[in-house]
Amino acid sequence: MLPKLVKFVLLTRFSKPLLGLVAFFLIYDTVIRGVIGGTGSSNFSGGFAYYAIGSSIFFIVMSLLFGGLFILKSDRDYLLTLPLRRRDLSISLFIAQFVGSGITILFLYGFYVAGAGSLEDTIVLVANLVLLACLVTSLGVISNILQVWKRVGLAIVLGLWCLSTLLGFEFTPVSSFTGQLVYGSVVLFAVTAIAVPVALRELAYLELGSIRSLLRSTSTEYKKNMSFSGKGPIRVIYSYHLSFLELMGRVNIGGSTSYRTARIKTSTVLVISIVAAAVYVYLTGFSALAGMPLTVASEHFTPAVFVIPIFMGVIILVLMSQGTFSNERGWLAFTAMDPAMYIRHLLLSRVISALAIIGPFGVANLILALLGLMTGLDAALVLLVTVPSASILATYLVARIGAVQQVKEEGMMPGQFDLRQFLVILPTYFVIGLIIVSEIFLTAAIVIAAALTVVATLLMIIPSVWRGIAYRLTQRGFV
Amino acid sequence: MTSCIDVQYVSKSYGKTVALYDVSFSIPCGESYALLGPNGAGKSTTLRLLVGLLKPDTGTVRIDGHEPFSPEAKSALGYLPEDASPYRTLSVRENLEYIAALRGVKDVAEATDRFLDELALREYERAKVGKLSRGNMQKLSIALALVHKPKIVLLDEPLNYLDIPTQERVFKMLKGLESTMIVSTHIMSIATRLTEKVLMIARGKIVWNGTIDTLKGMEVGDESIESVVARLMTGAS
Repeated sequence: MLPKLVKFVLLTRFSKPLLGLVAFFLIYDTVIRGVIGGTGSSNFSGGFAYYAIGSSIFFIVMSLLFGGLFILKSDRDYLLTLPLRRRDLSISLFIAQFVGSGITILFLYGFYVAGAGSLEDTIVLVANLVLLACLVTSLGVISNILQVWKRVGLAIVLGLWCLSTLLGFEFTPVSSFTGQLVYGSVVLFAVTAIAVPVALRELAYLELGSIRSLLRSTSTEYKKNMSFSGKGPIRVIYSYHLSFLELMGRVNIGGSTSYRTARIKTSTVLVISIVAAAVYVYLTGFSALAGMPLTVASEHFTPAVFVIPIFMGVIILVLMSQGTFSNERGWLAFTAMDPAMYIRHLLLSRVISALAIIGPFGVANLILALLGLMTGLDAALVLLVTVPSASILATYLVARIGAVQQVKEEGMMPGQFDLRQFLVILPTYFVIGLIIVSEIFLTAAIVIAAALTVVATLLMIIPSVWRGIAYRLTQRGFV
Repeated sequence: MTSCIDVQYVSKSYGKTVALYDVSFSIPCGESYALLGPNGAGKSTTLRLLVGLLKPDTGTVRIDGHEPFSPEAKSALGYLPEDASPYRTLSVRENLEYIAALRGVKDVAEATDRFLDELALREYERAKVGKLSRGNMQKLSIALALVHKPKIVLLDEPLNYLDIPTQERVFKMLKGLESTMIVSTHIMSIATRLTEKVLMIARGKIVWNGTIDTLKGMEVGDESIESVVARLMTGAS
């Protein structure tokens, strides 16, 4: 029964071409690693440890914060009501979760085992990687039963614990990547051994746990209504999207996937972002961290100045490309005015509200540049010009290839996850590439920012582009 | 009589699937039509073409003499799709105010209050739409389709999910509209109560066009109107 159930669960969630691509990536990674082989001596120092630990923290934290379930509405109505053995059900669903989220880590196989020299070290690191993937998968499931404050608290605790590795603490789940293969493996195994059974238990009784808490988790009323009275058609679009940042759609960061709807006051986000940017200026410009340079392409960087634009760029691209249309209602908006005009103002308003997140960091980098940290100028240009322009292009591309899904019910996948949704990652990688180049060469930063702004502007002013997107979304089932 | 809806030789395909083929019909202003047809006949596609959410591959669509995506057509039309879902992150009142303002309604607050009272949504004014019951969501969707007093109303299964008292309230509201109306439905009692004429569609083609009275006149013996409709649809397919 179990193999059949696993097959059913996988094929109802993921298309065959997508599963084929996943298999291809894994085989490719393994073969490439096998061909290249080890150098014979391990090298866990410097950049490798820094990035391997940073990536692991990113995956762990994102899974906890944005974890979601690969559950369909039909599961709730049919699969979960069938007289199946709970053990089989939970294993099948866990495998689906793994394929949907944890496997992202395995794609970074080559990167994570880069420090291993010998075959023995490689085997240990691969085992660590599989454990880490299981841990991330489990945390994504567990996050659904935790209240927001518990989720955030656990993310902070685990994040700081892992971060302590960089300060020389050996007993952490990621210390293997600094060469502490025994301690690191034991701790990671122990943490995973706690998380996986909890996740399996949760998946076995979804209808009593996550699905119920999903329905009850938030209050049913807003304390205060937004008022749109007395405003014109264009003004209300800005009024709506500048008041609140909407987190909607398939939030997919670091392999985690969830279908959520939430709104946060833009003013709150702006205040948090300003405070965080001020801390960033202090840590980067004045504290001991300022003297910790990173060398890329013979250029010296302060790591945070290099990493933060990439991290924020990814977040904004995901928010814009996945969130812009997934809460849109064509039957209301596109029938009220010309879709081209509506989408144009929708995109502009969302870009402006996204600047509430990245704008303060852009200004912070300008301040750093004035203080003499010239790479801050590149980072400011990336955050204030490149990322906003790129996010318009990414939103267009994702909608054009039909990879965006309309969220009609929270917590449930709107449909099968196919190759198109997987391909949405490509524009993001492309933009990350542009950001990295921009951060290394100021001239490139200026050229890329100007080019993206010109392309985004041209795209915005052509009505047929956005009417085409509206027709396409309708044909793909958007209502 | 002037046509409020004019469709001429319209075809629409999704890839290799032909949804509508060479469809033509006209609806004079002020008249109410039921759009009947089996599942997958092309009813929803027809409504989406009329409202400008889809573009025909061939043929022309005119709404009150204008292209469906023109501002004139947009302001004339009110559309309710099947299983409509309003903005989930907005409250009931915010949805109504947002769409009323987007449609350029002069007194947004008045229009909002009127629908909150008429459809008994007042107690859910601040409720998050994502947390509403399906019935209340349908009531809100009806209000959103009608908030700007449209001249032409296109409704796809408007009474789905509604309890009987609310159905009666909606019947009364729709009968009171002086709009041109197309109601797509599978339920003949809704068609007979809301409309006088029928447009029957099967496999992407118009197979019958006439009055409800004519349909009733086609009953043989104690045959019901549903049986007549089924006979016509099956005959077409």
